[in-house]
Amino acid sequence: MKISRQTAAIAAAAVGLGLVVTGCGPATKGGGGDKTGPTFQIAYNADGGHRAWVDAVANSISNTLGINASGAPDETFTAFRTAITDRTIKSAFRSGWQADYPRMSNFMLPLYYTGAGSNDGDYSSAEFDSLMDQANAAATDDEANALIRQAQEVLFKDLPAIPLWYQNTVGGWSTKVSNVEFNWKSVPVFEGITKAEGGAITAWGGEPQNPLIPTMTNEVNGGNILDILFAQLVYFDANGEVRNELAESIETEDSQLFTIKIKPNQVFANGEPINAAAFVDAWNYGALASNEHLSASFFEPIEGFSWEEDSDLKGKGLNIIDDLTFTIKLVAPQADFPLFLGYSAFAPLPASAFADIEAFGQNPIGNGPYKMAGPGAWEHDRQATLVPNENYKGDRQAKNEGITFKFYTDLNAAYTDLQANNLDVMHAMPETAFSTWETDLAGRMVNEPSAIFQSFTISQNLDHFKGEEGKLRRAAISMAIDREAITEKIFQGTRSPAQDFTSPVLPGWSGDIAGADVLQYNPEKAKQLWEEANKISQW
Amino acid sequence: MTRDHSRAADSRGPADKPPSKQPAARQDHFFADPDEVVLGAVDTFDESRPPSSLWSDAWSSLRRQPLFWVATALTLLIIVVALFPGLFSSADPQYCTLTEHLEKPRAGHPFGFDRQGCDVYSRVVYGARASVTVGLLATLFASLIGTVIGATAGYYGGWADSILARLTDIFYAIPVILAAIVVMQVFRSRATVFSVVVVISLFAWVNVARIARGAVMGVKNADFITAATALGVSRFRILLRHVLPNAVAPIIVTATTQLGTFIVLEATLSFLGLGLPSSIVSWGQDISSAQANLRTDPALLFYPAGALALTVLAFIMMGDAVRDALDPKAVRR
Amino acid sequence: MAKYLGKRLLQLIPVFFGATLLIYALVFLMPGDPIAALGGDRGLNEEVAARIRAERHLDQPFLIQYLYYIKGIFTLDLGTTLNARPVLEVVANAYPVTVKLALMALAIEAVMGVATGLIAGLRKGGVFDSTFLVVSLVVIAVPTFVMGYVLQFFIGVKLGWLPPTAGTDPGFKSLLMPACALAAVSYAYVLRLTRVSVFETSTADFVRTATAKGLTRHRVVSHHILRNSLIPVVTFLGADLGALMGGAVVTEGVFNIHGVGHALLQAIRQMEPSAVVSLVTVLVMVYMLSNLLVDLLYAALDPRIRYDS
Repeated sequence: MKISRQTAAIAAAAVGLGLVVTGCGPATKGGGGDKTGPTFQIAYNADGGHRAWVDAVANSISNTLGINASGAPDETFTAFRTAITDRTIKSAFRSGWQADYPRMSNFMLPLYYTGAGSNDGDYSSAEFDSLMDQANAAATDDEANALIRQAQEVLFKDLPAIPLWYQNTVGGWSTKVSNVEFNWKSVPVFEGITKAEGGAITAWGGEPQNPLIPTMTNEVNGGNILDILFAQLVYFDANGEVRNELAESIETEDSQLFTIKIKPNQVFANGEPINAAAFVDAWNYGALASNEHLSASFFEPIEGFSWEEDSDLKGKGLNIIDDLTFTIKLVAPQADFPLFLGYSAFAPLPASAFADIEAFGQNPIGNGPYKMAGPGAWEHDRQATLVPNENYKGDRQAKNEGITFKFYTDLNAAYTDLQANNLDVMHAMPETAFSTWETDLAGRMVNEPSAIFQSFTISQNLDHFKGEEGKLRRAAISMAIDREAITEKIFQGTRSPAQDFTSPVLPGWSGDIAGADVLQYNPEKAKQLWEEANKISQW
Repeated sequence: MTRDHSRAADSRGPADKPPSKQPAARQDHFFADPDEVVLGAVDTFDESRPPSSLWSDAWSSLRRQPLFWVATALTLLIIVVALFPGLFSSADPQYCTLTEHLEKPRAGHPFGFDRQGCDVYSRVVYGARASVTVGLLATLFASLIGTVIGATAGYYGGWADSILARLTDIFYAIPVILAAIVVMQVFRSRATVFSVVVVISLFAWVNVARIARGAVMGVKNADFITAATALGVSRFRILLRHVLPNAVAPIIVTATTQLGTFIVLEATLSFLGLGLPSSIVSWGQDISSAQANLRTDPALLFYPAGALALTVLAFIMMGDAVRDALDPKAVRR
Repeated sequence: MAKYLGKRLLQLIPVFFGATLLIYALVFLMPGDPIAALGGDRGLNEEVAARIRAERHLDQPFLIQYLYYIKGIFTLDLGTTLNARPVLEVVANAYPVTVKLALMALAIEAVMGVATGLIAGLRKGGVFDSTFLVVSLVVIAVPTFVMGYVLQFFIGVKLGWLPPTAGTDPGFKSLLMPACALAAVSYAYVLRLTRVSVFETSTADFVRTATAKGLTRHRVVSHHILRNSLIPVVTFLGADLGALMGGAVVTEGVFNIHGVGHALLQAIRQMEPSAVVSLVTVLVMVYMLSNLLVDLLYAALDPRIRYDS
């Protein structure tokens, strides 16, 4: 009978669809074993390309400890960052650090010192704090480094964050250029690159997220450009050693009052003189609360700085002695402050900048090896063109005819251009190229350790991770992660497993710190520790 | 019947003049002598035949098309795989260990392993559920909402058209990504297939609405509609039983094409970081993560993409066959 | 007709307000605090954050912020983004290349789609038809980003026929590959819509009459079949222009095109309602105008459609 068959067919389809609808949800397990208990989650921002490694880490933990573990993506970086800042995040979260200046202390103080600005896990240890204070006041670098290594031993016991790996300096260049070196920031030394056929070097970049004013810039796109537009009092050479650039001398007796003498007869790209006022006025402007500059926190150590209201540093912490001399008075002694001076926030600005700071931000006048090619040289979302600065007298002389930063939104597009020789140099590699880039770019690539550290932080306020139980669980988790396998198979060797909390390129680094064995993959010990923690409180 | 026929003949003749008084030269119509016409042949009505409707006609023509049966078999297979993945694969799709990273196929694991060390075959089988559900449900909702709104706008015209069409325009304006972020946020801790379905349906109905409106507007001025109105059929019934079946062809085409694009859209959302969470296995996620190894292991892409293509093919064929059967204008070959 | 036109143009206004309000609200509903994220991985000091918020009226309730924005539109001051760039400049920068790309894609999908759909529809069931069924299947099943990468790698890098990325001021040649990748899925829709429409029309009585009258096949096809089958296709193309302009974010990323898709994604990720709404408003206007055009075209294509009754 036609109608009944038709009805039957429709009925069957309806039942089938209904089953599909009700049955939708996580796929049921077939092998691998059922896991119980809450899920250990690692939060990350979904727009940062972190999914692959977070999944791998979660799988490693899950398989070793027999618990549920997964990544917990936040759709945007904004959401992720806000949750961390507001402390509403209820799981472990990815973290990391990139050096402001190449010293181990830079990896320690902002992240683990009680109350520090980037101490997102709310870690606090009196022992650690006192060791760092001693390191700060230490007379020699070697003493300081030894103390910092001791401080790391404390960190290995408490594991406020689980170290994962160091990000390598990876980069490649086209067949048209040579003499490509990379500095401690993992960025090419642009001034040294040569191009046989002449013409500007095209470099991979991204649209700067702020006007090109040193104190307003806190991200790498703007930072890379500013680094060659400006010269500071000191700079770091290829080995991370600090050298005087504009400073004739930096003297101090107590590491609290510094006297800076500037080299004479230095000028900006437009001829304006580089004098004490150029520095003091620039820093004053950047620190002023009402200007809302994003890197103002760098001026916090200087006396007179205030977040709440406009407070001139000039006259308090910064004093001009004469045309080429000025003093800096810090709130507390800080032995490595001269290194701070190498950070781009401490760049000088010509007096003409303050007349129209907005225009200056679009077309900055600097004093570095390069200058902007002219007004409009920064084509938003497209590229920025820089040419050599004849007024620059320092060590970092430009050996090419200019740098054009091309802004890409997708790494793969940049890599494709590199392969086609449309792009001369880039200092990152897309995931899609991980397995092929070394052969594609044989002889034109670099892959070596760098000063970028990655980890994930477990807040001190997270359930099951406090106190004694917490220490056991953290160690268990750390030992449940097979870093070797992940860096080799997921990252194809563009990362190196971590051996401490800092980075192997830093002076005084040691891979042999007591307690670093928690970073070794040890599934049996991990399970054992986890079980011990379960006795205290069941997961 | 003979009576009816001659009455009709009377009414067709020149008005007010009894035919018998007509002179032969003024005859305008030819009327055969009733004895000469085989009336039975003209007006034969086989009462034993069941009443035919659009749907039963469609079914009877569908039954005869091999395309329909192939498509049905394929669709049923896919639905069975989606419902009972355990029957087809014994490996755990969520069990991934880096020791199996990119391993080649071997016994028990016919498609090899992916980047994380998960069994690809198992993931393709288990992924069918999420992906097919996303595709089917999203298409269903989008088509229903879109057809209702579009047909109403096109058929009733006037104020309804203005308001609904402008509503369509407003919804069109919502960027997919924005909607995805907000909806995923609402479903925060319980992100499932349903959240992705909601996201997709939210903006996909617009397309269907536009098409439906255009098609309905094209059909509503046809003669047979006017005839139905003259017969006294209510406006709503006309819409439902006469206009829609004739306007449904482009809607079905759009719907079946959309189904495939929705499953792929899930892949694009995963690519942008906005799709399903890792705890749910789906083809979209596998496709999006496979592109990282596109140059060295393209097979990782082909398996889920192939499964997707097969599903798309099945539904498109099914849609084509159904549409051909439903279309009163199509010639029955 | 003039009255109809006038009515439709007037309707732009409520749509404008409706759409801008809705989208402003959606951005508002997004999780996270855009100011907190300004500091990147290191966070931002609370004082600085509070100042910036006050300056941008972010501490005011939603409706007040929305009204500030509307007020700004009338003075063409759409505010500045969190990167200190005027929103107007962002919008003006992003649109030209996107318009170029979208028009190219539209042309490709229209011409290729109608042409192949026509042939497929006339010879339904034949080899051509089956081949293009498979083609449309492949094109639907392969996501845009995969297609983009593959095209870019083989044609751009390996063969070098076309530039692999679009560069700063892309011309026709640089945009050809991205336009193809972008148009691919829409091409499948157009192909299938045309095919079905053509098939239906070709069996209609008036076509039979035309053939019987002795018209050449060519004239029958172009003058009678094609014109009458185009309604659903034209509908789709009209709606697609806006979709192409706003939805090209993946293609733009792959080929390094700095257009609306990327600007929109950036604005959404940074949670900047004024930038998002401004970008989308232009899209909405484009969509509405193209729909109006399509509706007017209906009347031209199909004499049975009337707007005044």
